[in-house]
Amino acid sequence: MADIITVIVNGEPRELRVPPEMPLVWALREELGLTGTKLSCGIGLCGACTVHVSGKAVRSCVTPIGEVSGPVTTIEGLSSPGGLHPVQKAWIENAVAQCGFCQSGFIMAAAALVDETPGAQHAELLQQMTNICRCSTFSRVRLAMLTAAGHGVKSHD
Amino acid sequence: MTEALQVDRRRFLGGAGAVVLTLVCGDRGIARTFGVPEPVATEQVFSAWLSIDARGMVTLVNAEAEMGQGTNTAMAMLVAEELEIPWGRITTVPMTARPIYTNPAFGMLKTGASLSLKGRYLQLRQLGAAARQMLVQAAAQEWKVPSQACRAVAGEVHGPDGRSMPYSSLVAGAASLPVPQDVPLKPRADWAILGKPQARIDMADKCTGKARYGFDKTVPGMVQAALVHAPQFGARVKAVDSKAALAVAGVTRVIALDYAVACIASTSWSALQGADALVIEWENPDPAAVIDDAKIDAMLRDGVAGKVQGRNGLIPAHKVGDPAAGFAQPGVLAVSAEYSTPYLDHACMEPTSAIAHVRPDGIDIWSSTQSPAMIYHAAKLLYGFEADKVRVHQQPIGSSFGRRAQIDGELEAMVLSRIIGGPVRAIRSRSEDIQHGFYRPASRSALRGAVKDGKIVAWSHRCASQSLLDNYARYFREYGIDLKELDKLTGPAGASGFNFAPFDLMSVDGTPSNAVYAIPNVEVASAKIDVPIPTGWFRGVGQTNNLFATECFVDELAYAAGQDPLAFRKTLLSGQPRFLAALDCAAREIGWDKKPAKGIGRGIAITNMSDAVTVAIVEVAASKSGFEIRRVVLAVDNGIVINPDVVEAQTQGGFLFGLGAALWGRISIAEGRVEQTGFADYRLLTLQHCPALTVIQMPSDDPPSTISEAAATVAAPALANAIFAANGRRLRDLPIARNDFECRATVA
Repeated sequence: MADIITVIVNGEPRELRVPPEMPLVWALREELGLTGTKLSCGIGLCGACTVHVSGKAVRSCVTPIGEVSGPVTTIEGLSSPGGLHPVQKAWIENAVAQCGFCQSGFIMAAAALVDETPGAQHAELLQQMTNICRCSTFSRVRLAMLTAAGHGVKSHD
Repeated sequence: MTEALQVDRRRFLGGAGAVVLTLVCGDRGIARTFGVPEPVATEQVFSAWLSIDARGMVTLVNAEAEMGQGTNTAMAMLVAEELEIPWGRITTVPMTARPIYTNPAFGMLKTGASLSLKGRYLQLRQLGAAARQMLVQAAAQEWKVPSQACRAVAGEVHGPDGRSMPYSSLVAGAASLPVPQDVPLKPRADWAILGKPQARIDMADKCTGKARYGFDKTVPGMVQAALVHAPQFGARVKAVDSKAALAVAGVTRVIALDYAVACIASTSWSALQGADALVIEWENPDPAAVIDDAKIDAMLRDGVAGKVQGRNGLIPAHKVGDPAAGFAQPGVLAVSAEYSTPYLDHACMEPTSAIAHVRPDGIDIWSSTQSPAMIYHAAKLLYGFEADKVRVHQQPIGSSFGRRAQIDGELEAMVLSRIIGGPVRAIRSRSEDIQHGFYRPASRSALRGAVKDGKIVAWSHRCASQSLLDNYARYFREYGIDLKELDKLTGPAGASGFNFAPFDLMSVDGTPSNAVYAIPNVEVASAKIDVPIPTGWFRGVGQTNNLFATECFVDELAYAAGQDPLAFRKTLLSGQPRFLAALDCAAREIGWDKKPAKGIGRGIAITNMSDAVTVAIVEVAASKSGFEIRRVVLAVDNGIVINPDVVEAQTQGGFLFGLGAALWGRISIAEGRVEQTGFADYRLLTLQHCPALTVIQMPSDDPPSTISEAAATVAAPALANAIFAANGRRLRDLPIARNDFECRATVA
């Protein structure tokens, strides 16, 4: 039988009775009801399932819940009491999303990049964004990354 | 709207709250209902469109699927403009499908074919105008003044002497008034909301994780069913060893259908793990009938060569003038070439899933579907339920491109729910999804053209592909459903997109049978191949195949005639001012008149899909082994524009969707099955290969028309033409990557 696994999700400790090999994406979606994190390719390639573990972008469809060693932040927990994360603001300002299904993952990947590499050049940031969007919103992702980098890092604190 | 307006009263059972004015706008016109649903729940408002609550917030039922193309916003804009409410005071909810929601342009309840705005443009403005007039009249009665002395301003009615009342206070009075007919609509010059960029009403939800899709839906008591389909097309289940699957924690049951096996569990992950552990013996089709790419290619070649007789042979589809005489003229220069395209998968981000609850008294379905009416009519044919006993709860779609016009997931969920006796969510892994799609068919085009005095004097286009429809009928037969019966129920004859002619018209879309060019002698013929691969509508449909051939071959003829491809096209388009304007505009933007440096080439492609004007010019830098896309310019005339911001986004996205497919998209067939297993071997576009892209909008007075479907179809021919201009390599077989020709990243 599954042991109890304790994970901090969006700042709150959560107890899960699931097998440790269950991918984090399913634990978030079906055990905790956090459906903002999506599943698409299932092999860690498209990035739709991206969440933060200890502030780093992680593809939750290939991350077993038992191997999660730090606090998890999902799209639902990205904003702070002070407001939306600068990347979210930039995304809304540039009207990036079309169907929106991949956008949680896109925003989480972009937020980790912007937060981790303050002052990074726009092109450097873009090179590291490997998420797939089938609506092909890339033209506006590019604009939003420019806006987000310009907003200043961690201005939401 | 020409139908008579009819008043219909209906009281909703809901929680206590404000009186809500609810208007119904169905096939019989606009009518009114009133009641107390607050907040509006689609399950309660079974046949309503519009309600205004106590805070003056307007809720519109969106009868078009929202799948990224922005219908939530566009439909709300249409109503808000006529209702005279500020943008931001209206929201939408997805519908529970009813026949009254039928799209008037489609003749059925389905989202697709770029018909959402075309069908709703008049209807929803009329709805908003009727509601506005009722509110104005209610205020006039309250104040005992003539309604002419009152007017609606920003969610309030203003009367004489500076009096005003908010809509929310007028709803009860308005609800008892007769519904006005033929209220004049605002002239375009007075539009405050329409035609101007408006923020998408669902943007914030999509950026904060609040947006819910079909894939996110849960229903109490629901179980998960992960499906494993026969890998070979046409194979059947012979035997199932479910021991290992049942040993997976959470797995409760294994159900074998004819062509698939379902693993039932309490969680999705358990169900998918169990499905992986199934040991299934398949009864495969006769090896002689097992197809692969080589066989398909040979069949397509035979088809265009006219080597096939009978129902799959070449059938004349279109003829202008005397093509034989055109080719036989003295002094003509004749050119011939063949083009090919592969099978493509939609590869939607949201995996195929659907929830069904089949009960003795009716069915509930929750799904991300483009075809709700087809679902409830299929349910009638399957189980005998009338349409009003089958409630299809539309869910927002996480991208579709035509894939969710198919109802395979919903049928599987219904069948399993009936067996299990409770709500079932049918899901599948990504590899199952990509191996069991409804693919854009592979095609081959054989073209001959003759030029004389710098003009095309004759054109012959023979194309071959699978019919989009033949395998459809086969698919429904699995369920004992006769496609012709389904078609009859779903809409006016053939409206559901099927036609039962000897060939389907979609297979010649994008050939000169419907191109804009003035060519005096044209013949188009179409041949079918009969292989058991499921095919279906794909963003741009037939044009994604034939326009590639047509627009590249126009270029070939231009070069054969010693002409500049832009000037050559303009000669052929002399009677088409919208096209000439768009071509000139795009050419100016890219600097066509300045000869590019060596190794740089520009390519044009145009389409008149759905009466819109779409022009693309691509600029590449190419060597012998690879190329880089430097720039893309699109000039588009989509008729009357509702939201320029969404037109821009859809044009960008549509083009890039087509570009990714042109570069790498290919579903390959070996041993009777799809070889690809997911996004690792079905390569899709990412940011690194996204070129700089300029969209120039040239709106006109024509009705609102297609945006992204047209933009998707011009990408491949414009790119191939640019590559030829840059390095002299004429690429006639898609995807580009098959030609040992690498597209280098453009972001740096």
